[in-house]
Amino acid sequence: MMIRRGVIGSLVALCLVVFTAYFRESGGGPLHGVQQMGGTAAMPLQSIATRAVQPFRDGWDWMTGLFDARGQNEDLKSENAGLKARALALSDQSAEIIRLKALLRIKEVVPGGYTPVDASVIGRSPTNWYARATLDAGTSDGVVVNSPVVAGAAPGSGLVGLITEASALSSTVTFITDSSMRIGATADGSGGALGVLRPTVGGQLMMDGVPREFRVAEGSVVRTAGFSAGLALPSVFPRGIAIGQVAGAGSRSVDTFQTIQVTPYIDVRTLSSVAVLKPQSAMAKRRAAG
Amino acid sequence: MPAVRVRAPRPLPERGVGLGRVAMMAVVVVILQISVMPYITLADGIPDVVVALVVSVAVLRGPLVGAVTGFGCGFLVELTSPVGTLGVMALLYLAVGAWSGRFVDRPEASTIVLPLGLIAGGAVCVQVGYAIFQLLLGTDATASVIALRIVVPTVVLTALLAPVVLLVARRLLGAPMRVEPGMLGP
Repeated sequence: MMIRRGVIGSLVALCLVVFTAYFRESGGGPLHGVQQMGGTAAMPLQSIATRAVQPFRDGWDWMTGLFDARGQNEDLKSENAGLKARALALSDQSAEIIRLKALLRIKEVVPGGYTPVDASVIGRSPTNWYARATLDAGTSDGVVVNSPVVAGAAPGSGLVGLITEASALSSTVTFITDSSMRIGATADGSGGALGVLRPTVGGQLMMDGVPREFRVAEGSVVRTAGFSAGLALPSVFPRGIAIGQVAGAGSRSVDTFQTIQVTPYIDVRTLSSVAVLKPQSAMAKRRAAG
Repeated sequence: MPAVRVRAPRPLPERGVGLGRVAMMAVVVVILQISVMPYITLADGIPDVVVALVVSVAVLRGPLVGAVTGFGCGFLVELTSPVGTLGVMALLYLAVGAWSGRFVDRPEASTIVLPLGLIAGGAVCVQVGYAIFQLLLGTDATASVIALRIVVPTVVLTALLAPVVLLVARRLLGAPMRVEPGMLGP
């Protein structure tokens, strides 16, 4: 009995020492390094397990999608009609923009000095206290810490997170729904309203710090503003990446600022592949350096 | 009126200490927990098959093996998945394993009801313990959010999967047997 208690007591002491040391050291400390190595070592098994489960997940998503489809059909029809009208109104402006950009010789690499690197999600945090995932792209692919992550490589893809750890073969993305994330953002058509996005319950976002004078319409697109949460330029996120849509805005008469609910475009819980924006330009590399 | 015959439960076979089988189950469960379980969600809850295994092993092999299994599984999960902690899950699963192992000598350890109840209780303890740790770190969350969106859904999902883990553990480990350090020596 004494030996048993001694063993259990030793293990408890070891746990306390390890997590105390883990939180006292910096992100590049030995325990963080061991954790990264463990993640890299588990990569092959995680990849196999993720691929093995993919057909079952696709089948489940298909079944649940059928139940949602009928309800969404009418909503999507009316939204489509509105979007067609907007597209017609904007189409004549796009030609003028292209002409003006050619005059100014502005080059775009999705977006502002970045090259997309495709990556697959091979592991996720087993607890929703941390909205993070492991990707199968690392420093050998050009991924660096503070690289923004979007869903897909096409221009205009939604923001999903930020690379917070990177080793040679894998990296960790912290999603925008993680409690630690704060993103400087702006809403289209609001006259330049700037605020800070933070996650709330159920994968939703809240935009704080927008003065009540700014009119933020429901359905407006919310994008990265290019500044950090502390309003010190530059942010790790370049300007203009779409994040989500305004679901509602409100304030009390005594409030100086309004509260804006934002629904992210991308449901990070179902993501299986992403694009990491590898910094290419000098400005992008300065953003990633922090 | 004829007497109703109640068949006694079939006794579990003796299968030895089985530490190798425990280690194998631990590795498989950790891989499932980090690769498959995050895709099964209810609100913000994710099933916790690790606590199901730790309790199952503890009830079948005693507090020492349960505590070591909990420590090992928790440490492996934190080493191989993108969580921002190291040592916290190991401590929580170790505590659940050590406490659940106290029931190894009871006749109910061979049944299904007690282990399943301990698994549900263990899942609650792990989730509440982790929530307390997150609140100490400064994470902003209300008690109602923690309870209704994390703890309750996690326990429900864990309870749905726990019978599978328990039955596999019983099949591989056999009858409950308290393992003490003296049994592991030459």
